[in-house]
Amino acid sequence: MPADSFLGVRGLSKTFAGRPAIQNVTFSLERGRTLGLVGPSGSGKSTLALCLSFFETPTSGEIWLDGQNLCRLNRRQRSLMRADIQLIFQEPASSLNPRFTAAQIVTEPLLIRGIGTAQTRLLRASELMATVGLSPHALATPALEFSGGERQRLAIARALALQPKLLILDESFSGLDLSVEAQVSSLLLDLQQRHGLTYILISHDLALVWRLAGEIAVMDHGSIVEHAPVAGLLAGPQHPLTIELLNASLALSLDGAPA
Amino acid sequence: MSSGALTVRDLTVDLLSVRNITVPVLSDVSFQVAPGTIVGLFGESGCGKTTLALALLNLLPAPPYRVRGSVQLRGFELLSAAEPQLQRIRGAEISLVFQDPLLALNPVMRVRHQVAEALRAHGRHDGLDSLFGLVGLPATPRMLDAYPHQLSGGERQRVVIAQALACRPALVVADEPFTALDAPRVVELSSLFRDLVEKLQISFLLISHSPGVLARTAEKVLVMQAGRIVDCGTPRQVFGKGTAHAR
Repeated sequence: MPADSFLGVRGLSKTFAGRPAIQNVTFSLERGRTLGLVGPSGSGKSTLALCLSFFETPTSGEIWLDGQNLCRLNRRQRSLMRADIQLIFQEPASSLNPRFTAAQIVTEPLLIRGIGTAQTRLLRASELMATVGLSPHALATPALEFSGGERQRLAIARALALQPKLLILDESFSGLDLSVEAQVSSLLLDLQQRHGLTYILISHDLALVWRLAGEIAVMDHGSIVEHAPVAGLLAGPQHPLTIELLNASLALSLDGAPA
Repeated sequence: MSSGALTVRDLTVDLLSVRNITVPVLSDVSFQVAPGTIVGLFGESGCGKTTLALALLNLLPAPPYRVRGSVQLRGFELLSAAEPQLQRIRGAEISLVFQDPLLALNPVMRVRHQVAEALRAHGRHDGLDSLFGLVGLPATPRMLDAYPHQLSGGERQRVVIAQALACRPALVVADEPFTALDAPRVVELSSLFRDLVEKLQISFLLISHSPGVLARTAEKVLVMQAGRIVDCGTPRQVFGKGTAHAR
């Protein structure tokens, strides 16, 4: 299984100081698809994201991406592969250097890898700005002066700079208001169609996951307790936690509110 | 007009930017919060919700901000009040709950001491246990002696709410208090807000960008856009008008 699918995770565990954060996580994901990852705080979603993006080394298990075992790479191979998997965090304000301009932020990944000249990098930056719906005129503006939604788009532009294959969005929407959320999610769908990007979308918001993801994995205490296509999961949730999450989401929808 | 817990009239805030340009942040904002009610504040990011929250507590530094208009808490004008007066009022009569409890709490201080600090700052020395009960936390040693990182996200936000309620304020301004929480926790905490209003007759100004949360909790919703209140009514009136604001 691991080698045939685009992303294959088998028996993945990560232990911090003797405490398991994720345990025996196994799943696979096809290219160009979106997996929604939901579960209560502390269920291991972010640890899984960190393991998949090389920020943490798994204690055991295997991660396969595009036919390569990520846990068996040497330093050089790993640093090359890092470009393929990009992580976008929850709080764009803390993942962007407030004193950097938009141009510095978006060109930094290219600069680090020595891609292009100053001029072509700037050109690429204005393309990326346009891709995420920001004005290229804003390239000289410091990160501090952007709104929350704009900063999140800046973070996406930076993540796209190296043309990744897999984008992991860890609660990347939670600070955004609905209209910006709608803009950013249609942007993500559009990018997926055009570039065949694969997404892992971590979110508390089931309505958002439902709109963007084809399948959902529910995590609890470090393990995946249910993994099914979105329609199937909504129609017939099996695990008590899935049912609790669905009920709570329904109560928070406008239709579920008391009249 | 002074019957409200909070009466805001023609509140206008300008920001002097670094390039010496005056940027209007809030323009002629007027509204009232009646005692024992929850008023929701809804709007896109950057529309001025958080600036409004800070302006209500007179927390915006004079340069670069210029604040005009009137903010009256139980008839007392806050915008012209002197700093020592404001210090007595903040936390005692009007308090603030932020989005991220991990940032609002001191990571190296047991939660017992953090909540007691809020009491002590206003000359009170008892009521810690009942305060934990009020926000639905057990007053057990495991809870009281915990550090913030040992608690779940929902528990942490309850500790912050306990701090905000320590002196039984007339008004709590809660700026996106549910954003960091999962859906079941949001449902629990929004019910807690309703319970607190019934039990204590306090008022909340609840900033949120979730129509569902506001529909569950608020009597009245203010819709803000580019620093102005552009709509106001019950959640049904505001969100029922179409899909412009709601999902």
